[in-house]
Amino acid sequence: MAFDKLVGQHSVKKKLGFYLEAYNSTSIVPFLNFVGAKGLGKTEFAREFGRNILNAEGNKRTFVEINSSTVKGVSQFFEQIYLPFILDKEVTVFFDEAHALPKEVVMVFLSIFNTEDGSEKTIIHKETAYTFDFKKHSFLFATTESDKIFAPFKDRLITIDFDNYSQEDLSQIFLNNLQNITFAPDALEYISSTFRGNARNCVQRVKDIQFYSVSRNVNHFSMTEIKDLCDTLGILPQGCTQIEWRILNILRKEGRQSLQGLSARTGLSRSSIQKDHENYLLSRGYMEIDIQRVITAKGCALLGK
Amino acid sequence: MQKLDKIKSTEVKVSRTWLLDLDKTTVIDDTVPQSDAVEKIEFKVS
Repeated sequence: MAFDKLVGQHSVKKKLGFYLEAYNSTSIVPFLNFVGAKGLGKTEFAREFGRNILNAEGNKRTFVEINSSTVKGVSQFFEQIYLPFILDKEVTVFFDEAHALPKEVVMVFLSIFNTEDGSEKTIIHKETAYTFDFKKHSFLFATTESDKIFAPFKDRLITIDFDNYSQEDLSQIFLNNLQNITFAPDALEYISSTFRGNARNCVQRVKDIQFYSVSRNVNHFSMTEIKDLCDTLGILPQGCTQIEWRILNILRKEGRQSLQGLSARTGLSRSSIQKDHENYLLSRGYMEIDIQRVITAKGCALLGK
Repeated sequence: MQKLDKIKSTEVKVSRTWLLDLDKTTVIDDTVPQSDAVEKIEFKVS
């Protein structure tokens, strides 16, 4: 079954499974836009989806994964991607971080991906005709910043939303990547709580465990080893960053603070606190904004740990 | 026509793009300098 190797994201799996079934009978993949925060598996799912799109001979189609921020113009795209990989070939093209595509390229894509008249589209650029056959050419996109994609272009794409991973999903990903290492249940629960709902953090923690396992010759982790690992690497409860921890401590010791007050006490700009540091504390219920910033009972309990 | 005369030629080309888009074939005029085509796109093929 497609996507069996990937953990979690059940609604994503259902949708992609549906489009794969549709592809098997129509030979057409709709233009999909994978949307979600970093570390939720957008790229992994796009690659796995690509592995399941087969060419006329029944083999996996060529999969071209593009860093969109390096696409600078239309000519460059046609010369470096269209001519070698798309023209007269069966291919899946995946634009990662698609919000970084420049406007002029997006405007051309608007025309290319207007398929109201059928599954083929020809555009003329600098007196050369470029034909796209969507029975042979599939296009996937992924972005962390869906709001930055030009709205009419976004309307041409079908959005696949990625949800945060549950702690159970992340524990599963964690264990799948550590085959010869075992954990006491409380140790596994504690270390999983530091992933912040994010698979990328989970994979980073896998590497930390592997290093610890090799350097200390440990194959079973109880709370003793996990606490030692966290102390050594500065991994804080619930995966809080040092700055988030400092903000909570300021709020507990000095009471409610205005954003300006918090900025003065931390030395961080107001916008940096808003954009980078307080979202996680708010989303986990460790602090609240009631005109001013205030630590919650849950936040105090966390510091108590 | 007087109004049209005041519009820069590149802007007129963009309008043409939209008109031709009604047809299956579209004429695109790349406004990016040709030197951009020299910069390498980062990609992986698998």
